[in-house]
Amino acid sequence: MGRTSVSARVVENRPIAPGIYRMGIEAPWADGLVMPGQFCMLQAACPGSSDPLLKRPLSVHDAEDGVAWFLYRVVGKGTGLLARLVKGDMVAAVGPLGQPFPSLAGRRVVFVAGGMGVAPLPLLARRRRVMKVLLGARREEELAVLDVLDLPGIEVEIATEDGSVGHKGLVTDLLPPFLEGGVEAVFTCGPMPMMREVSRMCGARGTACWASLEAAMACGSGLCMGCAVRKAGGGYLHVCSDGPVVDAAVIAWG
Amino acid sequence: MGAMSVDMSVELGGLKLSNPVLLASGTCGYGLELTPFLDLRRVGGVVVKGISLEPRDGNPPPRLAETPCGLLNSIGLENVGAERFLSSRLPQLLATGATVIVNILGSSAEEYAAIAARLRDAEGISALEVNISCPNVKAGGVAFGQDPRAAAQVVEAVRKEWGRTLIVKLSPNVTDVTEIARAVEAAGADAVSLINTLLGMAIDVEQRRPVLANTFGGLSGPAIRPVAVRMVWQTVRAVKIPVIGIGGIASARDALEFLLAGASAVQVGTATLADPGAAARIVEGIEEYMARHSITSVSGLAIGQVPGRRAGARFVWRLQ
Ligand SMILES: Cc1cc2nc3c(=O)[nH]c(=O)nc-3n(C[C@H](O)[C@H](O)[C@H](O)COP(=O)(O)OP(=O)(O)OC[C@H]3O[C@@H](n4cnc5c(N)ncnc54)[C@H](O)[C@@H]3O)c2cc1C
Ligand SMILES: Cc1cc2nc3c(=O)[nH]c(=O)nc-3n(C[C@H](O)[C@H](O)[C@H](O)COP(=O)(O)O)c2cc1C
Repeated sequence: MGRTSVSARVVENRPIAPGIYRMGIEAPWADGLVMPGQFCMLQAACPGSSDPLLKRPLSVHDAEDGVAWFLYRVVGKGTGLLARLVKGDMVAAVGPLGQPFPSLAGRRVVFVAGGMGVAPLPLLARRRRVMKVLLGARREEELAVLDVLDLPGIEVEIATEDGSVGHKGLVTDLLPPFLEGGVEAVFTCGPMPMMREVSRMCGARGTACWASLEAAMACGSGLCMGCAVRKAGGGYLHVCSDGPVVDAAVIAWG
Repeated sequence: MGAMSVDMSVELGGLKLSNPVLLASGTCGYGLELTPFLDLRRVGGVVVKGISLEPRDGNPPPRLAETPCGLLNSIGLENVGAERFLSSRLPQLLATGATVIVNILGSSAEEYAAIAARLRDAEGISALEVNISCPNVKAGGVAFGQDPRAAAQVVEAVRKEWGRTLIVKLSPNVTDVTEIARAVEAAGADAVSLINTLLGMAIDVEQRRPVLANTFGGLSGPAIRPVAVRMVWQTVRAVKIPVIGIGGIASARDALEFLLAGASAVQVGTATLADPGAAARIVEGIEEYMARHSITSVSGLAIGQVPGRRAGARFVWRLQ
């Protein structure tokens, strides 16, 4: 699958919205091998330090000319240390990992995103796997990343909870016309309650739905079985190796 | 490496290993998941995820919590069960050329024996590592590894079914680990490995609830290393069988602490989760260290055997 564990050079790392950074690293797999929806485990290289101990999972945001891009929100220590890196610094990177969004060539696919769920979009757009994006936010400020997203040929419809931009309400309010209009699949990435609702709506109409899941992860490569998510029929699947992108129908959304 | 050639091979209760660095159970999957990052022939052996007779689902999530220089896990011994391990994991793992050690678990001495019997017929398994940190259902859930009698019963039961190398993995959640080590030695163990994870807990102060769904979890990683080194040092001096040191090893320097304490081999656990190539780096680092200190054989590293330093001390301890 071409996955590697390397020390990679940072080519760019800069804030693009409050608390949100975009980082590019040199990656041997960044041209053809990586698929939309896959992720990497990343850690700012601090030789000899064991705090933080583990790498952090981030979706591949885009990939071109030997550079893999990530779009991340600074949450805690791991992402905080990543945010301090500058051009020329090294980052430890394991990837690309996990199951991608399916390739539904020529099909009508809608992507429902919330918050940092927009991260995998540019690579999906580059590979022409999505035609329409429905993006939800609480208020306008959260849409700042939209300005830097390079989404050629893709229409974006917006919903904000406070009505400051686009539809006033939840992003899932925008979905029914597409389900009724016969989209062939829905992709979703974002907060669990949003994905649960998208999955429920698709299930009710019999529309295929793929969700990109998150779970606390240690290795990202199927070694520890830590990133378990409950399956609909009982038992667990593992976000890092069975996902992060899974058929939403197999998940016990709770 | 320099001009000097160093002998990295070690022997563990009849099992000859090319070097003393093993991959610890539960942190290298079934071995195969690591092959993109690590040539499994570079390590002394692969201890696969704990296998039970029947498949186990494991614990509800969240199962992981990172702590300062450590990791709490409550995987709950999820595994594919003996049959699927034998049919769909072991053949591919053996094909890599790896030395395979199978970690086993059970809820009763009989279950441990049954799985040993089932694995006996499979070719290519070099050794069993018996995880006795599991709850003994017949004794109200007290772990076998916390009671010398229960631990000895498990080892005796497995010993009857298993003629090859038998390693017993000890729990650190006891007052005196040497008491358990002596009990399993007397019951027929060829070697002991320690430590398994230390029981711990983390609380999410904003949500005001335990982080792990299981409330408690096992602590691993560099945070536990001093505890592990101490327990290995004590155990080396309490039993005659070889001791495998485990706990927070992330570099050759860390591994050397255990080898100097008298461990015959080491296992790398959590470090592999953080860096899948860690074990190979550690093998190289030990070779480099030995060349630098003009030590020709890794089996002669223990303090007490290093020329000019506490010569014979290890022997004296053992005679006590
Ligand atoms: C497959 C996958 C892809 C992801 N892609 C992106 C992305 O493209 N952009 C982005 O901003 N974030 C993404 N995340 C979430 C990101 O991994 C976390 O925000 C990050 O791990 C937080 O680490 P920290 O040390 O800064 O925060 P802390 O809160 O200090 O982290 C403490 C621990 O909790 C874990 N953790 C905290 N939040 C999450 C979370 N939401 N998901 C999983 N583990 C978490 C950390 O890994 C760490 O082990 C992704 C998560 C997964 C599982
Ligand atoms: C995620 C995880 C899963 C583990 N699973 C097992 C297991 O199935 N059987 C076992 O005997 N030990 C298991 N262990 C314990 C390790 O093998 C090792 O004894 C312990 O983690 C200490 O070493 P370390 O600090 O190098 O990780 C597990 C540890 C971790 C972190």
